[in-house]
Amino acid sequence: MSHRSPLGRVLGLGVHAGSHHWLQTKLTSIALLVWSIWFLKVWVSEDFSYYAVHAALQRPGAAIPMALGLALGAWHSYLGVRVVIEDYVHAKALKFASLLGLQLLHIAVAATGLVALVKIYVEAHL
Amino acid sequence: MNQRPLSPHLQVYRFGLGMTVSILHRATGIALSVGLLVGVFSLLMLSQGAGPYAHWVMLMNSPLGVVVRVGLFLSLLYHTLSGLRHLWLDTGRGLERAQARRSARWVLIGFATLAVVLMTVWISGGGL
Repeated sequence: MSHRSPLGRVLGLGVHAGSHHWLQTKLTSIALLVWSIWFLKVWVSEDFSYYAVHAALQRPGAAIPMALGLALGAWHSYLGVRVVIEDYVHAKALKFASLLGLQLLHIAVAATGLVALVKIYVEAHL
Repeated sequence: MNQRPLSPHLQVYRFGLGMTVSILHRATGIALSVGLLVGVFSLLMLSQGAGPYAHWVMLMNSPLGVVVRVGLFLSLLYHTLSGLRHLWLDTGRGLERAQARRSARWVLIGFATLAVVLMTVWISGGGL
Protein backbone atom coordinates (compact mmCIF):
# COMPACT_ATOMS: atom_id res chain seq x y z
CA MET A 1 0.00 0.00 0.00
CA SER A 2 1.50 3.24 -1.13
CA HIS A 3 1.05 6.42 0.82
CA ARG A 4 1.56 8.56 -2.24
CA SER A 5 -1.41 10.47 -3.58
CA PRO A 6 -2.82 9.54 -7.02
CA LEU A 7 -1.40 12.79 -8.38
CA GLY A 8 2.03 12.08 -6.85
CA ARG A 9 2.13 8.71 -8.54
CA VAL A 10 1.55 10.07 -12.03
CA LEU A 11 3.60 13.27 -11.87
CA GLY A 12 6.70 12.96 -14.00
CA LEU A 13 5.39 9.98 -15.99
CA GLY A 14 4.69 12.02 -19.08
CA VAL A 15 6.91 12.94 -21.98
CA HIS A 16 10.39 14.04 -20.91
CA ALA A 17 12.05 14.39 -24.26
CA GLY A 18 11.30 14.04 -27.91
CA SER A 19 9.79 17.33 -29.02
CA HIS A 20 12.90 17.80 -31.17
CA HIS A 21 11.81 14.66 -33.09
CA TRP A 22 8.56 16.37 -33.95
CA LEU A 23 10.42 19.46 -35.17
CA GLN A 24 12.86 17.35 -37.21
CA THR A 25 9.93 15.50 -38.81
CA LYS A 26 8.38 18.83 -39.84
CA LEU A 27 11.63 20.31 -41.16
CA THR A 28 12.54 17.20 -43.17
CA SER A 29 8.96 17.05 -44.50
CA ILE A 30 9.23 20.60 -45.88
CA ALA A 31 12.59 19.77 -47.48
CA LEU A 32 11.18 16.53 -48.91
CA LEU A 33 8.18 18.44 -50.27
CA VAL A 34 10.51 20.51 -52.45
CA TRP A 35 12.50 17.41 -53.32
CA SER A 36 9.36 15.42 -54.27
CA ILE A 37 8.41 17.96 -56.92
CA TRP A 38 11.80 17.39 -58.59
CA PHE A 39 11.56 13.63 -58.10
CA LEU A 40 7.98 13.24 -59.39
CA LYS A 41 9.05 14.96 -62.60
CA VAL A 42 12.03 12.61 -62.92
CA TRP A 43 9.93 9.55 -62.10
CA VAL A 44 7.20 10.31 -64.62
CA SER A 45 9.31 11.49 -67.55
CA GLU A 46 12.79 9.99 -67.52
CA ASP A 47 14.33 7.16 -69.46
CA PHE A 48 15.24 4.33 -67.07
CA SER A 49 17.76 2.49 -69.25
CA TYR A 50 21.13 1.78 -67.63
CA TYR A 51 23.07 4.29 -69.71
CA ALA A 52 20.53 7.08 -69.28
CA VAL A 53 20.29 6.79 -65.47
CA HIS A 54 24.00 6.10 -65.04
CA ALA A 55 24.92 9.13 -67.17
CA ALA A 56 22.33 11.34 -65.41
CA LEU A 57 23.74 10.50 -61.97
CA GLN A 58 27.23 11.51 -63.12
CA ARG A 59 26.06 15.11 -63.32
CA PRO A 60 26.19 16.98 -59.98
CA GLY A 61 22.76 18.45 -60.84
CA ALA A 62 21.21 15.01 -60.42
CA ALA A 63 23.67 13.32 -58.06
CA ILE A 64 23.41 16.01 -55.37
CA PRO A 65 19.57 16.08 -55.23
CA MET A 66 19.58 12.26 -55.14
CA ALA A 67 22.03 12.18 -52.22
CA LEU A 68 20.08 14.88 -50.37
CA GLY A 69 16.76 13.11 -51.00
CA LEU A 70 18.25 9.86 -49.76
CA ALA A 71 19.56 11.42 -46.54
CA LEU A 72 16.38 13.40 -45.88
CA GLY A 73 14.19 10.41 -46.78
CA ALA A 74 16.08 8.09 -44.45
CA TRP A 75 15.91 10.64 -41.64
CA HIS A 76 12.18 11.28 -42.11
CA SER A 77 11.48 7.55 -42.47
CA TYR A 78 13.35 6.77 -39.26
CA LEU A 79 11.39 9.39 -37.30
CA GLY A 80 8.07 8.28 -38.81
CA VAL A 81 8.43 4.54 -38.17
CA ARG A 82 9.81 5.41 -34.73
CA VAL A 83 6.45 7.00 -33.86
CA VAL A 84 4.63 3.85 -35.00
CA ILE A 85 6.85 1.68 -32.78
CA GLU A 86 6.39 4.07 -29.84
CA ASP A 87 2.62 3.82 -30.35
CA TYR A 88 2.36 0.04 -30.46
CA VAL A 89 5.39 -1.50 -28.74
CA HIS A 90 5.22 -1.01 -24.99
CA ALA A 91 7.35 -3.79 -23.48
CA LYS A 92 10.53 -1.99 -22.40
CA ALA A 93 13.15 -4.41 -23.77
CA LEU A 94 11.32 -5.01 -27.04
CA LYS A 95 10.78 -1.29 -27.53
CA PHE A 96 14.47 -0.56 -26.94
CA ALA A 97 15.52 -3.36 -29.32
CA SER A 98 13.07 -2.27 -32.06
CA LEU A 99 14.13 1.37 -31.88
CA LEU A 100 17.82 0.43 -31.94
CA GLY A 101 17.23 -1.96 -34.85
CA LEU A 102 15.27 0.72 -36.70
CA GLN A 103 18.08 3.22 -36.24
CA LEU A 104 20.79 0.77 -37.38
CA LEU A 105 18.69 -0.27 -40.40
CA HIS A 106 18.24 3.34 -41.50
CA ILE A 107 21.93 4.12 -41.07
CA ALA A 108 22.81 1.02 -43.12
CA VAL A 109 20.30 1.87 -45.86
CA ALA A 110 21.43 5.50 -46.13
CA ALA A 111 25.11 4.50 -46.14
CA THR A 112 24.52 1.85 -48.83
CA GLY A 113 22.71 4.33 -51.07
CA LEU A 114 25.32 7.05 -50.61
CA VAL A 115 28.20 4.67 -51.33
CA ALA A 116 26.41 3.50 -54.51
CA LEU A 117 25.92 7.13 -55.60
CA VAL A 118 29.58 7.98 -54.91
CA LYS A 119 30.72 4.88 -56.85
CA ILE A 120 28.60 5.85 -59.87
CA TYR A 121 29.80 9.45 -59.70
CA VAL A 122 33.49 8.65 -59.24
CA GLU A 123 33.60 6.09 -62.07
CA ALA A 124 32.97 8.81 -64.64
CA HIS A 125 35.38 11.32 -63.15
CA LEU A 126 38.49 9.19 -62.72
CA MET B 1 -5.11 -6.08 -12.21
CA ASN B 2 -6.05 -7.77 -15.48
CA GLN B 3 -9.76 -7.33 -14.71
CA ARG B 4 -9.57 -3.57 -14.96
CA PRO B 5 -11.77 -2.07 -17.66
CA LEU B 6 -9.90 -0.83 -20.70
CA SER B 7 -10.39 2.68 -21.95
CA PRO B 8 -12.46 2.93 -25.14
CA HIS B 9 -10.38 1.63 -27.98
CA LEU B 10 -10.54 0.95 -31.70
CA GLN B 11 -13.75 -1.10 -31.70
CA VAL B 12 -15.98 1.63 -30.29
CA TYR B 13 -15.18 4.17 -33.00
CA ARG B 14 -17.34 4.66 -36.03
CA PHE B 15 -15.25 4.69 -39.17
CA GLY B 16 -14.94 8.37 -39.99
CA LEU B 17 -13.29 10.73 -42.44
CA GLY B 18 -10.59 12.03 -40.08
CA MET B 19 -9.75 8.49 -39.08
CA THR B 20 -9.52 7.34 -42.71
CA VAL B 21 -7.08 10.08 -43.80
CA SER B 22 -5.00 9.53 -40.66
CA ILE B 23 -4.74 5.76 -41.17
CA LEU B 24 -3.88 6.29 -44.84
CA HIS B 25 -1.17 8.79 -43.86
CA ARG B 26 0.48 6.24 -41.62
CA ALA B 27 0.01 3.33 -44.04
CA THR B 28 1.48 5.27 -46.98
CA GLY B 29 4.32 6.44 -44.73
CA ILE B 30 5.23 2.84 -43.91
CA ALA B 31 4.92 1.93 -47.60
CA LEU B 32 7.37 4.75 -48.42
CA SER B 33 9.83 3.44 -45.82
CA VAL B 34 9.76 0.16 -47.75
CA GLY B 35 10.07 2.28 -50.91
CA LEU B 36 13.30 3.71 -49.51
CA LEU B 37 14.68 0.15 -49.48
CA VAL B 38 13.49 -0.37 -53.08
CA GLY B 39 15.11 2.92 -54.14
CA VAL B 40 18.42 2.20 -52.44
CA PHE B 41 18.45 -1.31 -53.91
CA SER B 42 17.93 0.24 -57.37
CA LEU B 43 20.96 2.50 -56.80
CA LEU B 44 22.96 -0.49 -55.60
CA MET B 45 22.10 -2.47 -58.74
CA LEU B 46 22.92 0.57 -60.89
CA SER B 47 26.34 0.82 -59.25
CA GLN B 48 27.00 -2.88 -59.99
CA GLY B 49 26.88 -2.44 -63.75
CA ALA B 50 24.58 -2.85 -66.75
CA GLY B 51 23.91 -6.58 -66.22
CA PRO B 52 22.63 -6.53 -62.63
CA TYR B 53 20.70 -3.32 -63.36
CA ALA B 54 19.00 -4.86 -66.43
CA HIS B 55 17.80 -7.80 -64.30
CA TRP B 56 16.42 -5.39 -61.71
CA VAL B 57 14.62 -3.31 -64.38
CA MET B 58 13.14 -6.51 -65.83
CA LEU B 59 11.81 -7.42 -62.38
CA MET B 60 10.37 -3.92 -61.91
CA ASN B 61 8.63 -4.24 -65.29
CA SER B 62 6.96 -7.53 -64.30
CA PRO B 63 3.32 -7.36 -63.10
CA LEU B 64 4.52 -7.42 -59.46
CA GLY B 65 7.06 -4.69 -60.19
CA VAL B 66 4.40 -2.49 -61.79
CA VAL B 67 2.16 -2.93 -58.72
CA VAL B 68 5.09 -1.91 -56.49
CA ARG B 69 5.96 1.14 -58.62
CA VAL B 70 2.37 2.35 -58.93
CA GLY B 71 1.80 1.71 -55.22
CA LEU B 72 4.87 3.73 -54.23
CA PHE B 73 4.00 6.53 -56.65
CA LEU B 74 0.47 6.86 -55.25
CA SER B 75 1.79 6.54 -51.68
CA LEU B 76 4.21 9.42 -52.24
CA LEU B 77 1.43 11.53 -53.74
CA TYR B 78 -1.01 10.80 -50.91
CA HIS B 79 1.55 11.18 -48.12
CA THR B 80 2.67 14.53 -49.56
CA LEU B 81 -0.86 15.97 -49.71
CA SER B 82 -1.83 14.57 -46.33
CA GLY B 83 1.48 15.81 -44.93
CA LEU B 84 0.63 19.33 -46.12
CA ARG B 85 -2.60 19.06 -44.12
CA HIS B 86 -0.64 17.99 -41.04
CA LEU B 87 1.77 20.93 -41.42
CA TRP B 88 -1.28 23.20 -41.50
CA LEU B 89 -2.93 21.52 -38.48
CA ASP B 90 0.36 21.74 -36.55
CA THR B 91 0.20 25.53 -36.69
CA GLY B 92 -2.88 25.19 -34.45
CA ARG B 93 -5.29 26.16 -37.21
CA GLY B 94 -8.18 24.21 -38.75
CA LEU B 95 -8.71 22.06 -35.67
CA GLU B 96 -12.48 22.61 -35.34
CA ARG B 97 -14.45 19.49 -36.26
CA ALA B 98 -16.01 20.95 -39.40
CA GLN B 99 -12.72 22.50 -40.56
CA ALA B 100 -10.77 19.30 -40.00
CA ARG B 101 -13.35 17.30 -41.94
CA ARG B 102 -13.24 19.82 -44.77
CA SER B 103 -9.44 19.66 -45.05
CA ALA B 104 -9.58 15.85 -44.89
CA ARG B 105 -12.05 15.86 -47.79
CA TRP B 106 -9.75 18.19 -49.77
CA VAL B 107 -6.85 15.81 -49.25
CA LEU B 108 -8.90 12.96 -50.73
CA ILE B 109 -10.24 15.07 -53.62
CA GLY B 110 -6.77 16.46 -54.38
CA PHE B 111 -5.27 12.99 -54.25
CA ALA B 112 -7.88 11.49 -56.60
CA THR B 113 -7.52 14.36 -59.09
CA LEU B 114 -3.72 14.44 -59.11
CA ALA B 115 -3.56 10.63 -59.19
CA VAL B 116 -5.62 10.57 -62.40
CA VAL B 117 -3.64 13.43 -63.99
CA LEU B 118 -0.18 12.13 -63.07
CA MET B 119 -0.99 8.51 -63.89
CA THR B 120 -2.22 9.69 -67.31
CA VAL B 121 1.03 11.61 -67.87
CA TRP B 122 3.02 8.60 -66.68
CA ILE B 123 1.21 6.08 -68.89
CA SER B 124 1.10 8.32 -71.97
CA GLY B 125 4.80 9.06 -71.52
CA GLY B 126 5.41 5.33 -71.89
CA GLY B 127 7.06 5.15 -68.48
CA LEU B 128 4.80 2.38 -67.18
